[in-house]
Amino acid sequence: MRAGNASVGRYATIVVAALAVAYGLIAVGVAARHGVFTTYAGRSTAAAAGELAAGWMLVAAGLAAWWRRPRVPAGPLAVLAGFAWFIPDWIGWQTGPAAVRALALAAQGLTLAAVVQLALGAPTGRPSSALARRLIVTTWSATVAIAIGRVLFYNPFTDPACVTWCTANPLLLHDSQTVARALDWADVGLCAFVAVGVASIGGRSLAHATTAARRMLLPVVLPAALFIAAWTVRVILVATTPNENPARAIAMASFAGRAVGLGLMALGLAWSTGRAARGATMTRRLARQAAAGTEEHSLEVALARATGDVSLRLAFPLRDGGRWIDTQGSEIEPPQRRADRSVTTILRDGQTVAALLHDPAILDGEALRRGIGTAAELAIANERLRAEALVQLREVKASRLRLVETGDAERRTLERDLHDGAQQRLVSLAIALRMAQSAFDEQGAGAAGASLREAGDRLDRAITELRELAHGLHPVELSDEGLAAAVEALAEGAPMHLGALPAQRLPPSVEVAAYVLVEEATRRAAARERGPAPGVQAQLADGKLVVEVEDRGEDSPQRALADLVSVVDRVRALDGLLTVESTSDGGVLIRAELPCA
Amino acid sequence: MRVVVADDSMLIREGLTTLLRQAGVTVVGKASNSDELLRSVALSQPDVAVVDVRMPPGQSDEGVVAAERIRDEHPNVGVLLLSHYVDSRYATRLLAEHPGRLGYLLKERVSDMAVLIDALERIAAGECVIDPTIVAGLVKRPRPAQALAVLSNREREVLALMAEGHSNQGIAEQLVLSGKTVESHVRQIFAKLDLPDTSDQHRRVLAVLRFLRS
Repeated sequence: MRAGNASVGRYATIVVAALAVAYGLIAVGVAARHGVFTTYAGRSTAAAAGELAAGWMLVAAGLAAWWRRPRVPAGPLAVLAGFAWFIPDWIGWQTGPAAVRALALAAQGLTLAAVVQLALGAPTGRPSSALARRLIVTTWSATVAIAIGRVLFYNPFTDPACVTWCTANPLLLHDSQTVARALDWADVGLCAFVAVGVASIGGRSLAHATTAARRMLLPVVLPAALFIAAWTVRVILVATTPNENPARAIAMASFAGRAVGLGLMALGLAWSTGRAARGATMTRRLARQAAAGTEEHSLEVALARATGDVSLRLAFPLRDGGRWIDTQGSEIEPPQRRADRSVTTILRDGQTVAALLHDPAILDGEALRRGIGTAAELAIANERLRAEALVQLREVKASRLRLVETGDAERRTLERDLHDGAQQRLVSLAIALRMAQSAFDEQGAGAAGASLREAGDRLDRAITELRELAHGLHPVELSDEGLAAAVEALAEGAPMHLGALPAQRLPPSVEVAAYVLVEEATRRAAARERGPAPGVQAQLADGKLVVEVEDRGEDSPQRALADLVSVVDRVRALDGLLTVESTSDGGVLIRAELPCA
Repeated sequence: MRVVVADDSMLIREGLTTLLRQAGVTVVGKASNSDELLRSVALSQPDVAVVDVRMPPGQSDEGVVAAERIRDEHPNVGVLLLSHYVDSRYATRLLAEHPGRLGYLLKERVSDMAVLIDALERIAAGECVIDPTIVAGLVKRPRPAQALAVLSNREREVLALMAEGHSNQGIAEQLVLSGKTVESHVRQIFAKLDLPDTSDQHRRVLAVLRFLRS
C-alpha cells in the first residue's frame, strides 16, 4: 500500500476541509435567513446544528479515509455525501436564483445513492458481491434518471402543491405535472427498492462475515439503514402531501433520523478506516525501526503491539524443509489453522519465508498481508536470519558437546583396551619370564625352554594387539602417505569398490575427516554382512575435497545420517557439509564436501 | 604363609600361583571374580588374599569392593590389592576404613617375587604396604614449595618409607640407622609438618598419605 499523500495531498485535504466548513456555514446561513419555512435548518437552531454536525463529520471521515486509503472509493463517496447533505438548504432558498434551486431539487437524491454505496461496499465502498454491485449501479442510475426527469419536466411554479416557494425552472423542457408526480413516486419506489436491497444484502453479508469483518461492517451498515429508513419516510411525505413541510413533526423526526444516521455512519467509517489503516501504520513503524536499527523489542513483540494482537507469533520454515522454528530458534510444530488462530503466510519469490499466527477475530489475514510492506518484509527476513542463526548456534553447541563426549568415550575405550589387552599380556609375559628364570636356576637350560617359548608367544600377541590398537587410533598410512593409501589399506580389510582417490596430500584434518567418513560408512555396510559392497570415491574440485560413499544396502537417509553423527560433527567443524540422499536405485549416497583452503 | 589369588586373567592367575609356590607360599585358593574370591576366603581363611583391582563384570573397582568386604568380615585376613593405576585413591580409601593388613601394589610387581613376598609377610604381620612408585609419585607431586622444604633429605626419605607402610624398625633396617635415630626423625617430621602425632602405625601411614595427597 502506498502512503496516502501520494494521491490526496495534504493541502488538497486542508482545502477540501476548509471548503466543507465554509460551505456548511453558508448553507445553514442561507437556510436561517431565507428558508425559515422551507428548510429544517432554517426552522430550528438544533436542526441547523445537527445538520452541520452530520455533514462535517461525514466530510471529515471521508477525508480521513481518502487520506489513509486513497485507492478505495469510500473516502470520496463520503465527502460527496457530506456536501450533498446540505442540498435541501439550497432548494429552500426562497430568494435564491431559480436555476440553483431547480438543480438542487434535481440533485437531492445524491446523498441517498452515496450512502447506499457506502453501506453495501463497507468498509471500502467497493462491493464484494455482484448482487450488491448491481444494486448500487441501479441506485445511481435511477437517481440520475430521476434528477434529469425533474430538471426537464418539473415546473414548481405550476405545481399546485407548491404554495410557499414557487419558482420557475429555467431548464424546463416540458411542463408536465404528471411526469413530476410519477417521478415523486419513482423516488418512493427507488427508496423501497434500496431499503429491501440493503436490508437483505447487508444482512446476509453480516451473517456470513467473520467476527473481524462484522466489526468493520456493522458501524457503517446500521447507521446507513437508519438513514435510508428516514429518507424513505421523507420521499413518501413528498409524494403524498402537498409539500415537505418542516413544520410537521413527522418530517422533522425524519430529518433527525437522517442526521443521526449520517453522523453515526461518519463515526463508523472513521473507525473502520482506523482499523484498516493499522496495517499501514505497522508497516511505517517497522520501517522506522528497521531504518533506525535500534530494535527495542523483537519483531514479534513489535507486530503484536502494532496489530493489538498479543497472541501473534512468527514462525519460519527452515530451508532444509519440513521443520519450523520460532523467533527463539526452537523447533515448533508446523503452523496450522485453528478456530482461534489464523495462519497468514508471507511469501517472497513464491517461497514461504514466514508465517504469522494470529487471532482471526482481531486481524484479518488479507489485511495483515497487505499491511506488511517491503520494509516489514525486510524486518521479517532479518528476524528469520536471526532465528536461523540461533538454530545453528544451538546445533554447533550440541555438536561441540558431542565431539567432547566422543573424545571422552574414545579415551575410555582406549584406556580399557590398553589395560585389558596389552598391559595384561605384558604382565603375564613378565610372569612367564620369571618362571623361565626360576626353572633355569633350579633345573638348568633345558627346563626353561617351554616357559621361554610361552613368553615369546605372549610377547607376539601383545605386539599384535598394540599394533591393532595403534592403527585404530590413527592409521599410519594416513599420516605417512595420505588419504588414498589409507583408504586402499582400509579396502584390504573391508569390502568396498574404490573409485578415484586424490593423489596429492591434503590438510591433515581434512584427510582424517575423509578417512573417518569412509571408515564409518563402510563399517556400517560391512556390519550388515549381506548386500552389495559400498562404492567409495573422493575428488578435489574447486578447492574442496568431495568424498562420496554409495551404500546400496541402506535405504534410509535419516538412519544413515543418525549413525554418522560424529562424522557430521567432524565435517561441520571443518566448515564442510555432509549430506545423505536417496539414490535412484534405492540406496543412499553419503556425500561430504570438505574445504581444503 | 597361606594365600588366595584372585585375577580374571587365567595366565596371570596360574603364573602367579606357580611363582608363589616356588617361593614357598601356600596357595590355598584361586578365584576369577569377586564371588569366587569371597567364597574361597570364607572357606580357607588365608593369611592374605592377593586381589586384582579390575575384575568382571564391570572391570572397574570390583577388587576394591571385595577387599573391603574381606576386611569387614574376616579381620584376620589381610588383602594385597594389585592395581593398574598409579594412584593412591583406593589405598587411602581402604586404609581410612580398614586400617592394617592391607597392601596396595602395582600390577607389574607380580614378576618381582622379592617385593611380593616382602609385602605378603608385612601384611600378614599386620602392617600395611603402599607401592613405592605410588609414594614416589606423591612425594614428587607439585605442591606449595615450602611444604616439604622444611624437611631435610634424610627426613624426606623417612617420610616416603612411612608412606610405604614401613614400621620404625623397617625404616631403620632400610636406611641402616638406629631405631632411636629413626624415632627422632619421625618426631621431627610430625612436628615440622604439623601432623597429629600418633603411636598407631596405620594412623601414621594414613596421616602421611593424606598429607602427601593434599
